[in-house]
Amino acid sequence: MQKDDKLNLITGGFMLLFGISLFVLAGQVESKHLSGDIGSGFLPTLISILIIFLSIILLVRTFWHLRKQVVVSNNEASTDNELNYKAVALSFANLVLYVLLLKPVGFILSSVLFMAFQMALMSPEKSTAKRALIWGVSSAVVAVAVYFIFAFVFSMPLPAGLLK
Amino acid sequence: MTGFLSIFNITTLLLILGGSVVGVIFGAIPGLSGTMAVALCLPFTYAMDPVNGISLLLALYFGGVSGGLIASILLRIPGTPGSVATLWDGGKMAENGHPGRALGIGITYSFIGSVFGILCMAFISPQIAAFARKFGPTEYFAVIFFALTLISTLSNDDMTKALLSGCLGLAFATIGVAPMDNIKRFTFGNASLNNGFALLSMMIGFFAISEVLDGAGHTKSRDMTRVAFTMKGLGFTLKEFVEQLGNTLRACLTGLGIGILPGIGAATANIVAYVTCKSTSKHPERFGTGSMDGIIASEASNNACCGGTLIPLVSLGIPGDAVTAIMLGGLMIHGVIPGPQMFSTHRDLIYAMVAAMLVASVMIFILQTFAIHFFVKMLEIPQNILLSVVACLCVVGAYANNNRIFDVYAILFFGFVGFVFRRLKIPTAPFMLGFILENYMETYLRRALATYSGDLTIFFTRPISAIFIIVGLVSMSWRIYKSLLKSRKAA
Repeated sequence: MQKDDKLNLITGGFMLLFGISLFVLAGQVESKHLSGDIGSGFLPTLISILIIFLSIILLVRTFWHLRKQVVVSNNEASTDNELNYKAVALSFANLVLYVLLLKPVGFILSSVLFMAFQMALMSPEKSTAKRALIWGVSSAVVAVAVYFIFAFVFSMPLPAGLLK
Repeated sequence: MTGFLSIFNITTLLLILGGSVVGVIFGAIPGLSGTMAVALCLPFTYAMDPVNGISLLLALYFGGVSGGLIASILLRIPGTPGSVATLWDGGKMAENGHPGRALGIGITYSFIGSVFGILCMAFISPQIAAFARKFGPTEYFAVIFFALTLISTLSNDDMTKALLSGCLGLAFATIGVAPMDNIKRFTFGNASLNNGFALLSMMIGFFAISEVLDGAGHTKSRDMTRVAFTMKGLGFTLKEFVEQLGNTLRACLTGLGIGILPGIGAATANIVAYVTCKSTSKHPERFGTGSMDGIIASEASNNACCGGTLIPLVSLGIPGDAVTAIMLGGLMIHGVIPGPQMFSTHRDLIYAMVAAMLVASVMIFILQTFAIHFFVKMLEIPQNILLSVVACLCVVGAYANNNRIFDVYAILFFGFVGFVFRRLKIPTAPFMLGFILENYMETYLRRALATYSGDLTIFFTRPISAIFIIVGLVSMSWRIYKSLLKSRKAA
C-alpha cells in the first residue's frame, strides 16, 4: 500500500466519523423558530452532510486506487524525512505542562523551564554544560524581558505565580 | 492642505516613526499583532491632541500589517492573520534559498498596496462608500459565498481533501453562540466556548505550534546552514515588476474591496486575494512554489485592505475591521465623530490622517528594506532557540489577547490539529478560509432570510448578489470538473 493511500484512508475514516458525530450533534441544536430563519442547526447539519459525502468519495477513490495499484518498486524513494515521534510527544507534553504551570507557578519560572527544556529537546547536538548554560540564560533573559515589557510598558501583567 | 501639512513637525513625525517600529515588531512576532499594538497603545493617545493620537494609531496599524510578512517568510509562521497567504509562496521562496528576495518583494508590494489603499481613501471615499451602501445582507452573503467557492482553487493536488479541509474549518467555526438567535452550539456547557475559538488562537496553534512540533520531530534535518545572502536592489527586476502589474492591480483591488465591507478585514483579504489572483492568473501553477506572484497577491492586498477599512470608518462611521473599531473609540474620545459629516467638520483631520498614513508607509518601507540583511541574519539563530522563544511568545500572545488561559489551551489544540494536517497531507489554506468566513456567511445568510421572510429567490433577484453567487457556483463546478478529468487521465 502506498503511503498516500494509507494517509487517505486514515483521513477519510476520521472525517467520516467526525461528519457523523457532527450530524448527530447538529440535530440536537435548539431552534427558536424565528420567522424566515433557517435555525442554528441548519448550517452545521449541511456541513456534516458535505463532510460525510466527501469522506465517502475519498474512501471509495482510495479503495479503487488500491485495487488497481501496480506493485511499487522498492527503490521508490520516500520524500518524507523520518519523524522522531518521541520528540514530538515530549514537546507536546512540555507545552501542556507549561500551560498548566503558567498560572500557579507564574510566567517567568514556567517560561524559563519550558524554553530551556524545549531548546534541549530540539537541539541537533548533544547537551553539554556550556549549551545548557546558554539555553538557561537565554530563556531567563527572554522571560524576564517579556514579563517586564508587558507589566510596565503595556500595563498588562502576566501571571506572577510564586514570585508574587 | 493645512491638514496635510499639520503632521510635519518633530513630535508627530517621531510618533509615526515610533508607531511604525512598534507596529512592525508586533506584526513580526507570531502571537502578537497590530490589533494588539493598537489596543495597548490607545490609552497613551488620550493625553495627545487628535492629530498626534490618530497618527500614532495609524502607524501602529500599518506597521502591524506590514510586519507580518517577516515571520511568514523567515519562520514559515504567519506573524499576523493578514500574512497567512504570504507563507505559501514567501515561506517557500525562503525555503528554496532566497529569503532576501522574498522579503524584498513582500516589503515593496506591502508599500505599493498601502499607497493604493491610502490614495483610494483620500480621493474616492465618498463614492466608494455610496456604492457600499447598496450592499445589504444579501450582497454580503453573496460575496462571502463567492470567496468560499474559491476553496476549490486551493486544492493543488487533491480537490477532495481541500474541500474536506474547508468543511472542517466551517465546522469548527460553528462552535459557540450562533448569530441571530444566540443559541449555544457544541459548547458542552463550557462558558469559555460561548464565543467560539479566537482567530488568533487558531492561527497561532495551526501554524506556530504545529511548526514547533514538526521542528521537534526533525531536529537532525533542520540543522542551521548559513544562508548565502546576495541580493540586488529589492530582489526583483524592472521586467518582473512590469510583468506583475496585472497581478498587483488585482490584488490591490481585492484587498480594497474586502476592506470596504465592514467587519471583514485583512485576515480574509490576503487569502481571498491569493485565491482570486491564482484563479485569474495566466500561470496558476506558479502559486505555492515560491513564486513572486503569490507574495504580491498576499502582501499588496492586506495593505490595500488597510486603506479600504478606513473608508467606511471615515465616510459612514462604521469600522471596517477590529483595528478601525478601536480607532473609532480613539477618535470619539477626542470629540471627533466619524461619518459623512466628517468631511465638512474635520476635513483637516482627514487629510492629516492621509499624510500620516503615507509617511508611515514610507518609513515602514525604508526601515524594513534596510533591515532585510538583519532579518536574514536572524535565520542563523539556532532553530531550537528560535522556535522555543517563538512558542513562548505565542503563549503570551494567546493569553494577552483576551486575558484568559482558555485561549492558550486552544493554541495547543489547534497545534495538534495542524500537526495532524501536516502528517496526513491535508491542505491548511481551505481550513483557514472556512474558519474565517463561516460566521460572516451564516450571519448574513440568516439576516437576509429574516429580512425577506425566508425567500431564497432574493439571492438571485438582486443583481449584485446573483452575479457573485452564479459566478462562484460556475467557477467552482468548472474547477471540480477539471480536477476530475485530471485524475481520470492520471489513472
